[in-house]
Amino acid sequence: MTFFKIFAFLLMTVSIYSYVGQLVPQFEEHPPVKKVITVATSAAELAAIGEELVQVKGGCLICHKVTDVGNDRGPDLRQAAGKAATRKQGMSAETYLLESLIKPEVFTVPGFPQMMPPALQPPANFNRAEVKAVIAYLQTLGGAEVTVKIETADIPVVKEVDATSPVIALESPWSHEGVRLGLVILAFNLVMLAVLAIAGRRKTS
Amino acid sequence: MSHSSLSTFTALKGTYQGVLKISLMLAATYLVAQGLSAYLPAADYRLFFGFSNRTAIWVVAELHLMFAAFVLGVPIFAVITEFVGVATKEKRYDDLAKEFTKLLAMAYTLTAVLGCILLVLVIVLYPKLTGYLSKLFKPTWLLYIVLIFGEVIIAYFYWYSWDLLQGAKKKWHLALGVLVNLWGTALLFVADIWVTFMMSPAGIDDAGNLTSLWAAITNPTWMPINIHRLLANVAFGGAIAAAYAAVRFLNATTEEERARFDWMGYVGSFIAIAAFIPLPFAGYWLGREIYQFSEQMGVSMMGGSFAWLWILQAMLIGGLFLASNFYLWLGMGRIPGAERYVKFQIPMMILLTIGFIVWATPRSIMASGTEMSAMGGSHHPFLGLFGVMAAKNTAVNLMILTTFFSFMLYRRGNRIPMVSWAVTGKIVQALVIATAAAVVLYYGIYSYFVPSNIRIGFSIYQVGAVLAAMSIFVAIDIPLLKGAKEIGAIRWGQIPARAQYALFFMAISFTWLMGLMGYIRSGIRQYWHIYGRVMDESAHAFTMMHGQATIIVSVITVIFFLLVSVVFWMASRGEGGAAK
Repeated sequence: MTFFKIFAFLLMTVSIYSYVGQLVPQFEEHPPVKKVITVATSAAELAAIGEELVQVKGGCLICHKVTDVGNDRGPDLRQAAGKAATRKQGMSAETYLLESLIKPEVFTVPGFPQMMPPALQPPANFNRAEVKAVIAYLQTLGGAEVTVKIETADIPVVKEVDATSPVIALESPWSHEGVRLGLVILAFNLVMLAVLAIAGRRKTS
Repeated sequence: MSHSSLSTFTALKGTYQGVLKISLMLAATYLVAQGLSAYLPAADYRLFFGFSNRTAIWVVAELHLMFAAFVLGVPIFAVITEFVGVATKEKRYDDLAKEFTKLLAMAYTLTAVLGCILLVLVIVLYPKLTGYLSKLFKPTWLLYIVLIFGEVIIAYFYWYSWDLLQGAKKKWHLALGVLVNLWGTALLFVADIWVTFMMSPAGIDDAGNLTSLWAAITNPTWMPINIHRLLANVAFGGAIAAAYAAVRFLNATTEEERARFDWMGYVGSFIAIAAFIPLPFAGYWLGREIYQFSEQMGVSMMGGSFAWLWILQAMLIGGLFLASNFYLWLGMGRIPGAERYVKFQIPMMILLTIGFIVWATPRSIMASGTEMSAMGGSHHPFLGLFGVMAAKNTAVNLMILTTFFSFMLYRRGNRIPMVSWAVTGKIVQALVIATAAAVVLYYGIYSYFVPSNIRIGFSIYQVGAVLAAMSIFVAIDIPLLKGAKEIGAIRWGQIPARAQYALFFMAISFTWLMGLMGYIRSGIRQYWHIYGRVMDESAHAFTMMHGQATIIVSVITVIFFLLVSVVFWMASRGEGGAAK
């Protein structure tokens, strides 16, 4: 009877915790879908890819916002392209945006802390073509014309270590060495059995 | 045939049984994993009988981790209790240490079985990733196997030689106990290498080739997680041991048994809370390392998609504080003279409840456009003030201080200090507590008026004030109560059954909290196997809704307790058999 009482108490407690878990906002977060960018990718396509990169792979909206509701840790991205030409004297808007994504530590918008990670490094881990797609999106977001162009040098050779990479595709070393390890363990067991037999003999004598 | 040789043989035999079990389990694991890998069609990822591979690994890994926490946590306080028994020459401490250790034998077996299932699952469901990690960390895997055998031999021998190594040989048994803990800690540290590398990889180049094994091992989150888990294991082990005592108390048929398990439950809960209090500080360190490694990962954890789960964490910790105080207050009923302190209980409960509410207040709430314009933003104009860290740090520090005060009142329940400076001592103690509370409140309020980079530093002053107050209070309390007049002996066993449910509540909440925090720690990698380096490209590599995640945490908790009840039953059955 005590067991059932305790079990009922357990179910009641975990149910309350799970119920509270249902009360907080519910959403799923999916990994980014890989998109192929080429020199022939149109401006509209590039901007669409850039939008997805900002929302998913880049995780940019953790700190920035693109609508009225969003985060204020970094500047409002709707104004990024519009203000880009005025940020650094003598630097074009496109070059500034490129620099602010690749080397964010060089210039920080006044009023914000320097916490932006470089876009070419993890966790965003963009390649240059993806960085340009983000710039295309920022330009459309600010109502400007997409001026950024993809060049052959922007298209990457595979950089990310993914499941198809030769490094990760190596077979586990254990498939060959497991037997050898098993033999060592067997020998160890035999030694212990011998010790036990000696102790047993001492016991009977 | 001497008694000694018989006991030696029994101890060796019991130890060998443990070695044999582990050997057979490893052999079976190897054969099953290799067999399945050869039989199943080649794939980068495989589903678990059509279900999510990610969830299958999560459930088994968490269950394995919970049992591992228990078997690594219990020996730490078992050996401390044994030391206390030797120092005080009170046999009841040695009996208690043995009672704690008794729970381990069966728990080791379950930990190993779950570990083997986990190993088969990672090899079969994630063959390429496992191959990659095995290759990177091959020397650590070999070390891990050596440590497992060492742990089994020492821990089983520690248990089976309990009666053999008594009297003059006791020091050898204590040394064995220390060795069990050193070995267990090494085991934990090695296992943490793989987990933390996946969170904060280091020592590999852009192509994923190993450049430095040492850098990969000592990655940024390795040591903070080692320390965090070490403390959490003790807290968790204490809570589960207290739950075991509660079960035995409720099933007790004699006064002697009730008294024995009442005392065991009290010691277990005390260990759990004592280890629980420094945990937030270890958590801060881990959080800071995560932010330093990747600002984005840190923000995802605290301010992004996982932020809402911290509200749940606040609710759990608030509940734990309330339950532990409730248990202490009920326990005062069995202490003659403790009725003097009942008047403090209502104010302390009010303080704890307010702290709980403040800690569980979210900064921003999901609201429609109309609601937001009515509020003037996504934060409530008044309640939003309690949703920030300034208020939460203040609340939790005051809750810690209140719980500590509660325990101190419990401690002196049946004693009247007789030293000449007793009144002065008590006044100083009251002033120390009041000063700490004032420091916590002052910095809490001041935090609202300074920028965030300065505000972060204030939590150190708040924590420092609380820790200093607790240290000074105890330093005065020990000489103050030396030679104190005892009003009457504690009536162990005379505590209401509902106090045992407070112990169950603490064990369940600790387990659920561990499941939740484990999910957050692992979940913040999102769709990465190895954060920023190796992407998870399987069909189930998405972050599920919080509601679903909490249901899975609940399922894990229920399975864990069903398995733990087997451990409890085996421990009780063994005792019954021995008595017969």
